[in-house]
Amino acid sequence: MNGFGARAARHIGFQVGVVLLALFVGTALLSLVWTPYAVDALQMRSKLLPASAEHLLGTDHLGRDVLSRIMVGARTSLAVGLIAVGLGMSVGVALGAWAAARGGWVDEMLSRASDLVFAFPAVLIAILITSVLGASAGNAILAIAIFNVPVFARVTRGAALAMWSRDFVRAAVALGRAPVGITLRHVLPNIASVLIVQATIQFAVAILAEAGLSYLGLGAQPPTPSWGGMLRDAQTYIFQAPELAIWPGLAIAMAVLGLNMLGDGLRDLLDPRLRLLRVG
Amino acid sequence: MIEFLSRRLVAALVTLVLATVVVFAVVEVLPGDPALVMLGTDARPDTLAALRAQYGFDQPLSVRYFHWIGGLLRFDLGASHAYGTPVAKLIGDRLAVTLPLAGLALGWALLVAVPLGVFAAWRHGRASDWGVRGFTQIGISIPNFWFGIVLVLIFAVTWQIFPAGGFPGWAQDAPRSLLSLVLPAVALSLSEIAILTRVTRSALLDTLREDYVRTARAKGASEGRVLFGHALRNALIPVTTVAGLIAGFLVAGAVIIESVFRLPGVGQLVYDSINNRDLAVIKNVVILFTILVLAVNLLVDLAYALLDPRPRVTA
Amino acid sequence: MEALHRRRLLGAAGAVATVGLFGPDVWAQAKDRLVIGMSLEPPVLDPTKNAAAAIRELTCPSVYESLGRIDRTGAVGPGLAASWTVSTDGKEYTFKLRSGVKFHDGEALDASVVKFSLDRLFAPGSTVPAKSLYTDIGKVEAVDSTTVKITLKSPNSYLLYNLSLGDAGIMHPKSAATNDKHPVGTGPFVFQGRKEGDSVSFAKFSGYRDAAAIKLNSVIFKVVKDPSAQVNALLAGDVDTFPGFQAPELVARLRKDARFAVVVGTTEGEVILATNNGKKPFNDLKVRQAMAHAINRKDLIEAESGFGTPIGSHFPPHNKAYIDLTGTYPFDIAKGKALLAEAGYPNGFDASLKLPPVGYAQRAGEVLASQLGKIGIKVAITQLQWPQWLSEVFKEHNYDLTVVAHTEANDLDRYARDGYYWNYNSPAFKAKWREVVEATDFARRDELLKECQRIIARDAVNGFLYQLAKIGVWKKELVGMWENSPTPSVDLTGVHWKA
Repeated sequence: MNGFGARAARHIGFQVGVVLLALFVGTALLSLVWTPYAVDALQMRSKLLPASAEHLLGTDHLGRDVLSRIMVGARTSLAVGLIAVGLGMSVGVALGAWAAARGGWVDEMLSRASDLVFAFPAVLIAILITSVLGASAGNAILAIAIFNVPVFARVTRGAALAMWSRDFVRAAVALGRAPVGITLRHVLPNIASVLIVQATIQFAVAILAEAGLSYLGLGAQPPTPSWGGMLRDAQTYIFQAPELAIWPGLAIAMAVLGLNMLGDGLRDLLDPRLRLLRVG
Repeated sequence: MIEFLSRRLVAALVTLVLATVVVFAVVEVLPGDPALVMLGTDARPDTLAALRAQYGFDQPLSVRYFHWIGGLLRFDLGASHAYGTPVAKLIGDRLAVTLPLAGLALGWALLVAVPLGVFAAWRHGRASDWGVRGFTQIGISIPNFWFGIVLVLIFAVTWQIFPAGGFPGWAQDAPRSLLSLVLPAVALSLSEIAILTRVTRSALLDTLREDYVRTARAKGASEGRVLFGHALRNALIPVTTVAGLIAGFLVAGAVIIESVFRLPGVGQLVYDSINNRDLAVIKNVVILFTILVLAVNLLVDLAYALLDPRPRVTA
Repeated sequence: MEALHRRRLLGAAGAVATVGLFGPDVWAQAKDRLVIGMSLEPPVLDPTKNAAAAIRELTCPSVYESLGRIDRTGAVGPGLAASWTVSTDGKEYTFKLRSGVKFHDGEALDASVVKFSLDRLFAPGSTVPAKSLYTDIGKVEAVDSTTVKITLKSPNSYLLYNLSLGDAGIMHPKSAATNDKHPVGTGPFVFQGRKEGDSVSFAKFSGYRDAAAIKLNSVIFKVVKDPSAQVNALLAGDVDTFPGFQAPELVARLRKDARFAVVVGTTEGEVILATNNGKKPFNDLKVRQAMAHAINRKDLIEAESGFGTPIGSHFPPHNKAYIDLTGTYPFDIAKGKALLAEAGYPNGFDASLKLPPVGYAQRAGEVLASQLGKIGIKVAITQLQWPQWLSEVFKEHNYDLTVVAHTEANDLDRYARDGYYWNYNSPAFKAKWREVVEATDFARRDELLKECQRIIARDAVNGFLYQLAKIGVWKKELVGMWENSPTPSVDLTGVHWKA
């Protein structure tokens, strides 16, 4: 890992990614302790104000400070994205590693299942899932997590299969070690870099998905601000206050761009030959 | 080869059968009573029960599942609960919006992405290559529905060149119908442009490293001849494949864009049907999309098997 | 090269756009064609098969006519029945039908057809959504070919009104079964065709009994669900009118355009913060009173861009029996807090607010969450789809609070219903409502209605917020559109283009 720092110092894309991600996470954390105004402070007399010194990004249709809502929206995106990818990754990696270790019918069954998930129109199924379970941030997380499972399962399976044919793993098998032990000791640590890179990209995809779902009203519920929900409200007022539709979208784009650049950068730095899955 | 393809075909069929079970189950557990939706808040319990019996909602799940599958096998999608009209007609009407939209988006994406990818590969490693790669990075990061809203702001609200949304209908006003598909198609194509540009660029760079290209160069062929005459033709194989995959996605994935631009497409049909609990429409459209995706995947496999002489490694 | 390419493309697009703007100018050429924009789509086209208001708006009375007819003021006048008499005990109604009335398919109207139609409404196996309005009917008889006698089980002072609703539209036995897809009635417009998700079109019925009075030859209802798309459709000339424009926040944009008239009228829709009276802590009158004190109607109406009239009970302000009860529990946060403390909730409590997917509910919901928060009630909002709202809130009563508009006329009776979703149970109100229904003297009925309003206002059954406004938008050359919405109906009989 010695050369990593030196190479990272020369990789501009990676650095831009780090800065954007830091801005994203920093905003989300800051919003926990401070926002210019309370996010749910309605002020009907000062609705749809343009940007000013008092309200740097203006106010929305209920007179709430847009900057404050963008800040808390970062928190919503971050939380939904992290938990959804975390969930999908835990299940997907476990299943992928199992398939690689066992092969045979387990492998066949899991690959049919992942074909199944990939064959569904993702947006429609996510809408169906949130309709079945009710619209909420939690159920949006679940819907996004489900589509992350096969992504991680495939990547893990592919990378793990390659590991199982390596000499040091074969040696462990010859010594009679249990498959679970080998997977945990030898396989997973050696494929961690693939998983980290894939997770970064999936995080970006998850933020886009969360924004789409909450744009349709199926994500975090009001008055909790979410970037997609703010866009949905803004579109109604596009004739009176067009700039309302700019800020949340810019926030989404910057967060996703940061993660994408970080992911590509990490791939270049860790292992340029990695093949990533891009879904959605 | 035959064996490989028949194995893929069987796998796809197994996936399809599983999909029908999953879709049926999900649609059945949708909360909300379709009879109550139809009869509203003044409905009496006895009228609700009578209506449920009329539509067969009171029959056992297995009976209804096989009834549906039987219909599918006879290409009979049944009738919509809400409209009373055949589901096939509803889907047909909406495809008249969604297919041109997807076609426009794909055409536009190819029109922009292929030259851009070639350009980047040609200027490989130079500033303009970096510029193109930066653009593709931004392209896949911008949510397409927000890009749609921004396009509306610029071209519909400020300049008023294009309609901000809605669809007059081909029969009423064909030119303006076409016009109202332009912004959505552009919005929908942004991320596809980014992906196709990347694919074109890297495929071209890959082929430029191949021996026959080196040979052509060594023989003294001009850089233009090498690029367009030899490399591009081969690089178009992966580009076509990805374009095929994208086509499937564009038809099924346009829900949010259709919602931004209020286009009465297939995505909106499903979305509205979910909101109306029009179960017959939901399950049939979702299954048709699934068949579409599986068919595209099979075609891609077939294309690879035919075009790529190297032995196939299953993913 | 790239820049040039882009410019050429924009130029071409601009040229097409110009053709669109100055090309077909619908109203200038065709003065007998009307395109009406609708926010909601009718599912089927038969009001006896589905409860959706949009069905009634499109087809009643344009296709289906009833015995009586509700006019633009909400009063009942002759419809297919030219006249009627009511027995002194209020239990026998005798209708004299108009003669020479024909259905669109050429069938004639007579008493047997009316009997067939009305029998369907309350027959044992009937699946008519409004069945409960007609269950007081004992029997319907065709006395002779133009006389129909209805005998009630008990008097019902709303019977004539209910028989004038689109729900009681007269259908012919031959076409009744297929009316959902191909409506056939006696009204001034004949069904031409529909494109689901898009439009329904009608043409003038040449065999209408007063065909000369109908000035429109072609009527197209076009469905445009989204508010901003509605504005676009108007500005682009795709639609001539939105009789019920749903987006108050966009009215300012339309008022800027000299081509349109924006007419604000009344509806029968009371927007209420419906409260589950059967559930703790809302079963406590003090808690409901506290909530009533926390509600600031001015801000709620402001969130509707100023459209709406404050109400203090469940009754429309334009009705002559209306009394202003908005002062019963005036906006007073301190009083609200004190009442909550008295009820045993000095620190407030948590409550769920389940919102249906309509604009006014979404807006009011966020404002109410903030207002109730000020007296310590922490409100968690959930947005539901209609089917979920109907099942979860309306049928299963699994909710604390919800916001909804009750748009039916004469809907005070819901406070007398057992097991209605508010779980309000007041013997005093029920007794009073019985008197209203059985009243034979309408002046007396108005007095009773006032007492009913007072009872539910005092009991703070629900949060009474405001009366929805009807925002009508139409081209200035269009004459005769209804300003108010006394019943779900787009009545086009008097509508025409200025010559």
